[in-house]
Amino acid sequence: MDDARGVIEFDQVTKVYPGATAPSIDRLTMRIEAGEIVALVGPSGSGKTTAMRMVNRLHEPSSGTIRIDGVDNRTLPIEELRRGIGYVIQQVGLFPHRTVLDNVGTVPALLGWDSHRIQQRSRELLDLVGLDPSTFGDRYPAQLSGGQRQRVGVARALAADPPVMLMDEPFGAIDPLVREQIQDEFLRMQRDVRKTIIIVTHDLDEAMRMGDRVAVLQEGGVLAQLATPEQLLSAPANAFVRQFVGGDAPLRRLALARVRELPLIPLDVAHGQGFGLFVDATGRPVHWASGAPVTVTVELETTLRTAAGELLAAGAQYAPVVDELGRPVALLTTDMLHGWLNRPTEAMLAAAVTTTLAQAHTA
Amino acid sequence: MSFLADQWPEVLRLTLEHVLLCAIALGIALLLALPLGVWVHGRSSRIGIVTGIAGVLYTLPSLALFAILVPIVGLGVLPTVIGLVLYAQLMLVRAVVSGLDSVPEDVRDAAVGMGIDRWRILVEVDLPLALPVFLAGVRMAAVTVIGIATVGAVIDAGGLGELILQGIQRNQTERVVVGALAVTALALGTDYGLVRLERRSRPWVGQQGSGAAA
Ligand SMILES: Nc1ncnc2c1ncn2[C@@H]1O[C@H](COP(=O)(O)OP(=O)(O)O)[C@@H](O)[C@H]1O
Ligand SMILES: [Mg+2]
Repeated sequence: MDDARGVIEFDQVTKVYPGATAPSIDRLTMRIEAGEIVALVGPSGSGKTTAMRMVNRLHEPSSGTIRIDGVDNRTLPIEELRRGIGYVIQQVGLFPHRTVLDNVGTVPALLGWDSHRIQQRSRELLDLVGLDPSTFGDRYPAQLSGGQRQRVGVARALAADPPVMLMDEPFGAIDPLVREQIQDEFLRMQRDVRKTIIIVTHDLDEAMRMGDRVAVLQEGGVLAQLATPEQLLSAPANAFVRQFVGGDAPLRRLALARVRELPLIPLDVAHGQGFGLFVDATGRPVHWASGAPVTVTVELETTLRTAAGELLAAGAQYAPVVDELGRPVALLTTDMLHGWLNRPTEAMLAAAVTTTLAQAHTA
Repeated sequence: MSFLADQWPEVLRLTLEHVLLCAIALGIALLLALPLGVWVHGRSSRIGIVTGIAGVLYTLPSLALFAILVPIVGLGVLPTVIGLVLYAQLMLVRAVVSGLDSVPEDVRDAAVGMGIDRWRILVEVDLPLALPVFLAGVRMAAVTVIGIATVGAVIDAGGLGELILQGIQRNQTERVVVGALAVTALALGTDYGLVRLERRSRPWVGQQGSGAAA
């Protein structure tokens, strides 16, 4: 049952802070599966941090139970519980007086590993988060950029290989450009380490990007919906969620998929329908068989949202999809995007494509 | 200056005595203030009580403080040391508290969240990080103690105050001047030494630039 490690269950958990009149978390019940990322999202003050901090008992529930792998989290001595749970916060909280390597080795040292093993493990983890241990290992946190510090924070949380990780707005203090990159890196890493992760964020985009499922909390600490990003956008459970995901829901849904996931029209099919492409010496598309110049191309790894934006900006109904070298591999049309939003069956999509092509051809 | 040429062994002896007196007083004061500061830190009611009492002692004129102690413990080094210890408490307890206040909240939160126990957090996180601010307070206390210890000569504690006292009694201005200058030099030297120590207590800052780029 080793692969079932890290199941977190909230069972009717309520938290009323001393002196408060209303609960900050109200009868929260949810089950987070092993290896799953659940993003806790909601407006400020909706109790996201409170919910997360009850898992490692930085706060105690007023009533209800939190279980990890079926065991009440009040069973273990509190320090032992915490050493088994990775903890990452927005301000990182690295020890300023310790080197990067020593910071990463904090929990292994607490667990009494021998120093050689701690060294080795810490270096391994710096590598994992994309920091060269021989360059960064002996630096102090003050000598790192914000993004680098956050990576060290993640490495430190992973050091003792805990099955569960708690992350409170971990990328919130990082500037937007680096943030996306770090989010991507983190997701790539998660594919290997398969932790059970609760990530708190007030940013819906981040929640959608990071969460296998998203838990939306509303004022008063009530769980409004726990669902996959796609379900949340296409079937909001109540008015609050609908409002929270906003009128941008279709665009957000487009952001959830990448061009390569669509049933694209292969080049030879496109060619057969009169959409042949002329390429230059490097293999990049220059103009269509009709003679019209190629004004826009989209890459396979682009999200549908970006692709839609590019098509709109170029005023194009269709565009060649290109690989990382810029060589055309398929054809994308706006109707495919529309079809994707309307959960098309294969048949519907094919029909839509044929129509578009026919129209475009005659135009 | 012929005085210094003749009497330098005596001046040196009194200087060493002064240093010893202050070092003992500061040492004891630190041993007292450290746990006291840790105990009151973060509890406003405790801070109120402790700084209230220490504040009263601090505002008492030092001569009066010594005078009060003499009937209880007699003359000499003992009442002087006790007086200096009490006198330094306000500054030192405050130094401990503001040192601990300077420990970033996120660092402490991360430490607790990772499962470090309270004692270890105190010793391995709080105290080292509080050190620079704490040392700034120690510096103030040390300089003050060095000055006030001079008054101890009145109740037979020895030290450089004796030189000044003799100068006044024998109407020898040179003695007074040399004594005062020696105390000042001592205070300045201590101040300088502690500033250096303060800088060295935080080797982890001020090294930016060597590759802080993303
Ligand atoms: N330590 C605390 N003591 C008292 N009230 C708190 C404490 N922490 C949070 N709260 C209150 O609980 C509610 C939820 O806070 P929090 O969990 O921090 O929300 P979020 O992380 O979603 O912004 C807020 O109303 C906040 O004021
Ligand atoms: Mg929060």
